Amino acid sequence: MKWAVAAAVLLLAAVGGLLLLGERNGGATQAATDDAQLQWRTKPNLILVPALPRDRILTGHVRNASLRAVDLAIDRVQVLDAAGHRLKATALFAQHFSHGLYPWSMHVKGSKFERRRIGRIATIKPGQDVPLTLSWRVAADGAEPVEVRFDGGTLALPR
Amino acid sequence: MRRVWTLLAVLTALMACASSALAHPERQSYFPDASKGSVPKYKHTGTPLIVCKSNSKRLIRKAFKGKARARTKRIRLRALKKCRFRNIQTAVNRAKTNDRIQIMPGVYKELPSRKVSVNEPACAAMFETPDDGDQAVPTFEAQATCPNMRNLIAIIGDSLSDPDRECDQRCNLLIEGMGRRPKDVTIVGDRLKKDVIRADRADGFFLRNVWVEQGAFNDVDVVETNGFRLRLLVTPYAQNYGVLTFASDHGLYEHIDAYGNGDSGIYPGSGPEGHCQRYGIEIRHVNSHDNVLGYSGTAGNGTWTHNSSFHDNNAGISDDSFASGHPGMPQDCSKWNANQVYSNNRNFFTDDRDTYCKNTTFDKRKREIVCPQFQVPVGSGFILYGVNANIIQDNAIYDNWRSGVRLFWIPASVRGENDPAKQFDTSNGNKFIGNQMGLGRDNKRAPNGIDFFWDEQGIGNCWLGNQAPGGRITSDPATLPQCPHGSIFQQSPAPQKFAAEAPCAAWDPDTMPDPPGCTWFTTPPKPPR
Repeated sequence: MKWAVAAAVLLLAAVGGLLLLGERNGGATQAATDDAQLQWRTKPNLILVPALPRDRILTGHVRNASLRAVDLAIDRVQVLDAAGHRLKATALFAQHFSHGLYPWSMHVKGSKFERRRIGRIATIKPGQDVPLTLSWRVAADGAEPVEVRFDGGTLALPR
Repeated sequence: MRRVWTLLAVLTALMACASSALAHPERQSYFPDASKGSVPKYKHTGTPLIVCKSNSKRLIRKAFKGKARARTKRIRLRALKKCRFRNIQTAVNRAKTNDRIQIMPGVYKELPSRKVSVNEPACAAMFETPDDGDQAVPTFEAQATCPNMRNLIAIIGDSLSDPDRECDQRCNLLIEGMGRRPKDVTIVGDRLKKDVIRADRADGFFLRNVWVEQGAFNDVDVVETNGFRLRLLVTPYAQNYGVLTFASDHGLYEHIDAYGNGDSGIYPGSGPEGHCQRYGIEIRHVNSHDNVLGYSGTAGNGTWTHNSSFHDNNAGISDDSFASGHPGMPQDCSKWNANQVYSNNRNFFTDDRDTYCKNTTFDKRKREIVCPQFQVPVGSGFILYGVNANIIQDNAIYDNWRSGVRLFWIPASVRGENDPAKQFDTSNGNKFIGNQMGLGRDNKRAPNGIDFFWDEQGIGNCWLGNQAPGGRITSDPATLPQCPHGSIFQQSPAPQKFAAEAPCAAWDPDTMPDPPGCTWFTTPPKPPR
């Protein structure tokens, strides 16, 4: 009897772990890769910021042209120049300002629901798209970025 | 065997958490029954429970010097003889419905409450993980069972003997400082417990004439309370809010000085759902200054704010629909009139401040140093994001170097509602009437950076009779729709205006204190007069 209960505990732990893992990884979707075939839905809009001459903002919609859903996260987005250098940049899967529930000082990462709500993560189903706002600061040498990388997949940036 | 069953139970509980929907810093909250309740009146009768300190006698003599105050001094000294409590919480614990607690002059640190751990083992299981976040928060059961776990002073009005969420103990409680001024009775938070004073389902709660400071979240917090009155308070230096009320109704804020708070001086969030038929919370004679925000209200519905000043904050007044889990979304039906909203140009987002704030936790910070908890556009008067059917009328709005009023749409998905039919349900039906823009109290020009900055979205937003010295108000767009008809629906608001604000969402003192593309944290130049 004791062993049966222990086995049940182990089974529950394993199922619980899988559930947690599923939550973290977004279930049946995949991370963005070259195979994911991310595309701009239409040509994105590049905006200059007069008060910040080295800063740029770009808004557009990212389309998933693959046959599988793709998970994207802003902390895996990189904006790169032609030499492969990473620029100081932000990304948001939204086209408007918002903020989370928790003050920054609480250092709460936020649930998946929360991060999705404020555009920190997004899942793009096949054939669908999500809004994206990028911003970056051009380096002192003036090198403009040429691409944005999503954990392996890339999109060209307009010049 | 018992251990195995315990382990099984814990694992089952963990699985339940993993599969449940997710949270919000307050527990799941509900509005009280609007058909009941009223703003409490001052009580003159009934034997008071008197709280004092060993030096109260000396402080009474000092506070009430001179012939003009001799009678009051005698009354206070006579009452002092009946003092039976050294701590406010002890008196609260002894109090019954309709009681009065009188606090004699002194500094109250509430040492017995401070000794209670913020993670009391007895209440470890009484936390919930709400639908919209991932940090567990105390349930009402936890607040009632371990009242000083997260609060220095807790007034818990609902007993656990029934599930009705209504006050049935310590209702209509008056807690009153007996000094000449609020400062004479100072209640000091320990910078660890979230609330210095929390009134929870404490219908008829009346707090008056005290100074409350250094809450790790709030100085004064009123939750799910039907009928409350906060009068003659000073509430500085909380990590987040000087005064916060949440899911409460039939309330009155009056004569409150709120400053030095890391979010806002006052926060009437999840305000009464009066659906524009009534104002459930009145706010008057408030002076809120030198905070990140003077006023904020996520789902700040049904409030009427008048004859108050919001000045020298990073931004003056905010109402919004940013969060999920706040009852009453989206925000609607509040009114501001006869207020002074000016000079909101202080900037706590400097490099030095960022460095200090990220390297110093609240319990170790200097009392007077304010660390912003959320990002705001420095130099703004009103910032209205996702709001409906509000009236901003006959206010003086001046010397806000970025903008006097900002009005933006926020899609419903931001508050967790993904129904396509709801995505454009803000910002509609807001009226800006008869405001005096850009003219200071001394009748000299004190222009805003721009008087009105609007994203050009929404139905029924309208402007009428707003004035500025020397001619027309300034606005973007240059022409604003006139009342009564106002704007017509536009599905695609001005994209450049949206795009300019989106990067500010990335602000984080730890990782991104100065997001590329975001201009919010640079103090705008003073507009030419």
